[in-house]
Amino acid sequence: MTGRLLSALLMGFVAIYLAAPLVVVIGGSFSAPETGGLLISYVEFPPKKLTLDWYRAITAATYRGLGLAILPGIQPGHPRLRHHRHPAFGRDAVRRAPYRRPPRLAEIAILRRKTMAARISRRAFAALPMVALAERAAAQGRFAGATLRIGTFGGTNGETIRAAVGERFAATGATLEFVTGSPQDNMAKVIAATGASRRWMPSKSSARRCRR
Amino acid sequence: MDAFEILGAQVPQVNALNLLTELDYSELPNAAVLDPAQRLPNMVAIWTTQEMIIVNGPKLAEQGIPMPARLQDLANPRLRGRVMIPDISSGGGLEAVGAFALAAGGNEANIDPGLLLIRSIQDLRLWKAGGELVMAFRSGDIWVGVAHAGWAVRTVYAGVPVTSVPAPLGTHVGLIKEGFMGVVRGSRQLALTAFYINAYLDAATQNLMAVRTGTVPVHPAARAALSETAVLREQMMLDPVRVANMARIDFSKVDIATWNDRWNRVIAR
Repeated sequence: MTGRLLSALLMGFVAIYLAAPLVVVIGGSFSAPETGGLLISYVEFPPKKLTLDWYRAITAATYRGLGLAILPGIQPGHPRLRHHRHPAFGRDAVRRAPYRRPPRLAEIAILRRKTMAARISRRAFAALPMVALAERAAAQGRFAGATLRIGTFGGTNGETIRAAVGERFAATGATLEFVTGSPQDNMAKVIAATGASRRWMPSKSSARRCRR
Repeated sequence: MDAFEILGAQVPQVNALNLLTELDYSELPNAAVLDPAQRLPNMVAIWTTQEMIIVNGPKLAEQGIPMPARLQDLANPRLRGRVMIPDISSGGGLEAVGAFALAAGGNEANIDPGLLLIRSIQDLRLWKAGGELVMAFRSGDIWVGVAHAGWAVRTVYAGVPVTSVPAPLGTHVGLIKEGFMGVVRGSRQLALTAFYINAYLDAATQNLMAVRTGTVPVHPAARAALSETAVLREQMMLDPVRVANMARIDFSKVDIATWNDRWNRVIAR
């Protein structure tokens, strides 16, 4: 009995120890210092100026990723959907999660269609630790293996852009390539690649010069 | 190529050729704070620059030459062979030609007065990439240049104590150039391009670009932070009232083919 009590106390202490920082992070997420609209990456706690600026700065893609992370954890309430319970709802869902196959899109679609009739089960909380990784996972799913080619100035410009956005870009799993050159050069490349010059109607003055 | 940077001078031609696809601004939350004029249906402004006369003040003082305050002052015979301006084909070339035209009493439809003023600068040097200007200042080959204030910033980083002087252009003082980003029609990477553009418009990215390259941020918060960096404060015009009085070339009135033709006949002959 004493052993079980000590074990429970220990587990409780560990849970509080792990969760306590979240109180600060969640509290700080509703506050932002006065910087004229510039979001600064440090937490202000306790909150001084209540605002939803941080939440407005989250992209639509992140919210989509959050939705995808939570929806598989929602238990459908409609009786006809009981048999569509997601495999992750089992008691040992967390233990077995790494070995599970990804949910089929059809399963997610069924769950999403019935969101209004669904109720959040206690087990849905098992999905919450994954929310922090939702954006990266969603982005990787969408962009892994893709290559983005940007026409820009080279030199310091290119290096600075890489320094500023490179890490965030790498997290998407995509590759960023710069096609360096002046904007005039890059426009010429785009015209050549798209065949747009065939659609170009010369101005009267250039047409006159051609006739000379 | 999925997206590319576009100069304000290219906007009419890019639109005429229908090169770009429409932007989905719901995927660009950082663009929400931009001036509405900078959010076009198919391209969004990502930087601006301030076109200036860049002067090596200590060198001119050593030579006893007064600091140029107007573009006309570059024709001072004592500056012979020491002045460098952008070639018309360079990134800032069209704006520079427009600036000389406005300074000499011309306009977008008549640049000849500006070209004649350029021709009056003896042994004029032309740059095609801004790095050439920095190198020429470093080597001491030139004492005065025309370029955007960012090149003055980079010249200071290179160890030359230059100063930026905004030139009077008719009723305006100084000239603003804008750069845009647009997504090429037919690109398969629309979401990824939106991710990139949104990251570019982020206040932190805009601030870093300003400090390292001397561009003026389009993000108001990043622009407000420019005064925190001494070199930017010294080389750029940051007072909103003075910035509002800077000239802009109306490229919808410009026939670029005619400008190039006139340049070739008057300057490059």
